[in-house]
Amino acid sequence: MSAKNISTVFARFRSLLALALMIGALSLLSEHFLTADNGWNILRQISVNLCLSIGMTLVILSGGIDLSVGAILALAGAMAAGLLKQGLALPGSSLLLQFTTSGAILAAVIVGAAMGWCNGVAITRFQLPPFVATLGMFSIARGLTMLWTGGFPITGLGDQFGFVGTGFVLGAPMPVWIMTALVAVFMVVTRRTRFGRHLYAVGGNERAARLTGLHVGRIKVAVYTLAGALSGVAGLIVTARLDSAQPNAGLGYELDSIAAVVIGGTSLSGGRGSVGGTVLGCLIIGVLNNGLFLLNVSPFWQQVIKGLVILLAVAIDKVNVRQRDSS
Amino acid sequence: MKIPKIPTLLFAAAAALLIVVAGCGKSAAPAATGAKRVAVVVSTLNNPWFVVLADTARDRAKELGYEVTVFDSQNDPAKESTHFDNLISSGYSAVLFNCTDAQGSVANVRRAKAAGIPVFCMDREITANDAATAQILSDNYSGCVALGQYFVEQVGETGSYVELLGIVADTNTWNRSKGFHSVVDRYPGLKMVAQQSAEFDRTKALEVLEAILQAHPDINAVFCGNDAMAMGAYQALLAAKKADQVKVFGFDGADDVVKSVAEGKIVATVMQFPKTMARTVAEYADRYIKGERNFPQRVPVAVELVDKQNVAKFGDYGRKP
Amino acid sequence: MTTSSRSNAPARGTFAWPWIGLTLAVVVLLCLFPPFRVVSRQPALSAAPTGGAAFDPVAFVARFWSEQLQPAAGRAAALAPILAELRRDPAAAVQQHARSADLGGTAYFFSRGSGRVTAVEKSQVVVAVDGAEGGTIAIRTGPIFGNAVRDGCGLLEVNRVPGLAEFNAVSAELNRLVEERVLPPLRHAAKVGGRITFAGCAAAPDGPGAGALLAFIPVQAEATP
Repeated sequence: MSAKNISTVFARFRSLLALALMIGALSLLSEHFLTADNGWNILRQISVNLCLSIGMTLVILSGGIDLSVGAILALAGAMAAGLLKQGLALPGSSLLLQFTTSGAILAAVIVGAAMGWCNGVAITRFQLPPFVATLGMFSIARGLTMLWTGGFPITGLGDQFGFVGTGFVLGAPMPVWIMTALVAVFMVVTRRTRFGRHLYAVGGNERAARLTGLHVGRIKVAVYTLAGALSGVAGLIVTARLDSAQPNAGLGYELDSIAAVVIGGTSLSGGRGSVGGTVLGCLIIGVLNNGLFLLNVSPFWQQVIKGLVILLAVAIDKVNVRQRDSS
Repeated sequence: MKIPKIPTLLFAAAAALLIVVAGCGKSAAPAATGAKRVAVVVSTLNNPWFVVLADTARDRAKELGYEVTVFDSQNDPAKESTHFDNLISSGYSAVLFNCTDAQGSVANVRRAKAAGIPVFCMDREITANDAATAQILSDNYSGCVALGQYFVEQVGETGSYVELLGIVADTNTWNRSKGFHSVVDRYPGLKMVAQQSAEFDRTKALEVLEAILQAHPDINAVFCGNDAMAMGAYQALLAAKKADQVKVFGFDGADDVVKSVAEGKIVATVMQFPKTMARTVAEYADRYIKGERNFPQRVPVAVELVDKQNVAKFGDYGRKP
Repeated sequence: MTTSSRSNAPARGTFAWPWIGLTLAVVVLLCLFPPFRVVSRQPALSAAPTGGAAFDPVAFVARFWSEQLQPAAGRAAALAPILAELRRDPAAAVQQHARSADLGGTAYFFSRGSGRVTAVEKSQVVVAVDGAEGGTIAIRTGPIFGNAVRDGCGLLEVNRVPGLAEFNAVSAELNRLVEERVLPPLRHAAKVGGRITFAGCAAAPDGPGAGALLAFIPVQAEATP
């Protein structure tokens, strides 16, 4: 217990150090960096990635991986937008279900959770490796999004719905509030509930967890369902911010969220890591992105640098695992 | 428990790398000149046509004495939104904008306008008349009307053809298709046997046309929504040994297709003038910054049919001087 | 983990208060913020775009045709002098008499004239213009495409309509009116040797195109066999 604590703490400490170095360097190099506006920009921009990354943290903690989060984001956003704009026609009658903003929000979360649940079932009931199952779901969700939207964006969703993405409450943008609430909830869930403890156990050593009587299957299904629901929330934020559900939303977002989780100190082999670390990982990526913009670094170089950062993070993860196993 | 030094070192290295690259990438002494900054936001840099658009806008703005940064939206409205966030809070004086989504990008333009930053749209239209300061646009519809007329002249009034569409969610895809059909559909002898999207991509066009040729081996022509797809289609026809019987038509005026038209391989394309649009937009921004406020909302820029007869006049994304 | 109890069985003796509380909260929220309303599927009528805002190209062009275009056609510049100048100095003629609507685009002449029909082809009629010493032009009688009428008359500008798509719709509608009102009588009456009076728009030649025939799209035409 204590060794795990110390190495987790150190992992977070290392990320904090890197973040502090970057912030220091950027505030020296650009006078636009350390402003309130820019600060809110960064927080707002990481909100989507953070929602996805919290879900990804839970999945990776359980020893799996989820490649479909971006696709589920797109599907949930598209469904919410479509239901909001056109409602749902009840077949065989002349009635139409006119969805309200709260209905659209519920729909996005439910659709996301449902897709995540399918992932979980595929992995536990049908024993598919998580990589394969979620890869298949990626394709299915993308296809469903295309079918639902016909390939066109759905726009004009109204001010009430837009508030979710663009509104301000007590001076802070809505997405920041949503993200903070989710971080708080899931920090409690992972650290202070029985479910959280069981999750770490399953990820750390699945055989042992099963032998001690934990219902591994149910835990995994729950985790993937939660990841799907969180992707739904992320989809809502994206759609509300743009006032438009794009059929190609979320392309590549799964990679960004995996990067954030790994940089934050969660081990890809499962059982070690924390939501707090993921928050730091998202902040590092967000500050890096923001800093590269402000410094006028060419868009082509930006892609190279981001790739290097991800490689570094995974290399460090390997070093950590080796050291943990040897100490 | 020993404290692992390596991870910390690696991260310090990452931070150092950032500082070094930043030092290299930063343009010289901006504070010294106090020059105004102009942002060029382009929808994608993956297509050479847009690279020409962005580079010309950047070069012209630099000539006029501004510091320019190019932002690549990678065809993603969410990234475009992020760019606008950043440039609004960084004190840019103008935005030369090529949007990703005619409706979705309107919100971004309004935000910039509310922050006092003029936005000049180039090439792609946004569906609002009071958001951008001016829009310099290519008339894709009319260009394809002209192409359609030439198509009928070349292919005749009877025959069968295939249409390869661009990205389905892009308004220009449909502008071009509608323009083409407004002419060709008037001739009932010309039948469209297949219409598929190849997403403005050369490789996809090659694959899609190969598949279509299996089902419809005897077509007379292929109309492609852009030049990248026209090149891909031509390659597919070469492979199927049908390049002599099937006429290929493109749109954009890309260099390789203009050469191909000169060699008699691709039959025709339509030259859009990215350099004219980019230069005009940069000049308008300059005039705005110097105080002028009276700009027409839309300025259409002509597009021209490029065929075997007049191809000698074109090259390098414009007219040869 | 040393506990051997099943993870999901509640500890005996305690009531699942948190779950009840959560369910109640959800129910209350659902009542306060209902997810959907049930409406009948008539909204097609009420949801139709409320009048004024939408641009109607047919009505716009119909009004434009009778109120502005026809009178302007009556006042259009005479053709013969333009033809003469074109022969002398094409660049100057285009500069002076033709106008273009877009940056770097084709310029169009808007002109009226009369002459004798010398040939009737499938989609055009060739006319020897009066007073132009052998100058001939063509009048299109086949399907009309393009923006010659819209841009040539010089009375329409893209910023008068909501957008480019609407501007193109105007052009399409103008062409349709030409095909519907002007061409049928023309096709019927034009015969070789007959006379014809007309007003219309033609694209200016692009550079020194020797022998290029100006092809006019008529907005007014009267033919007598």
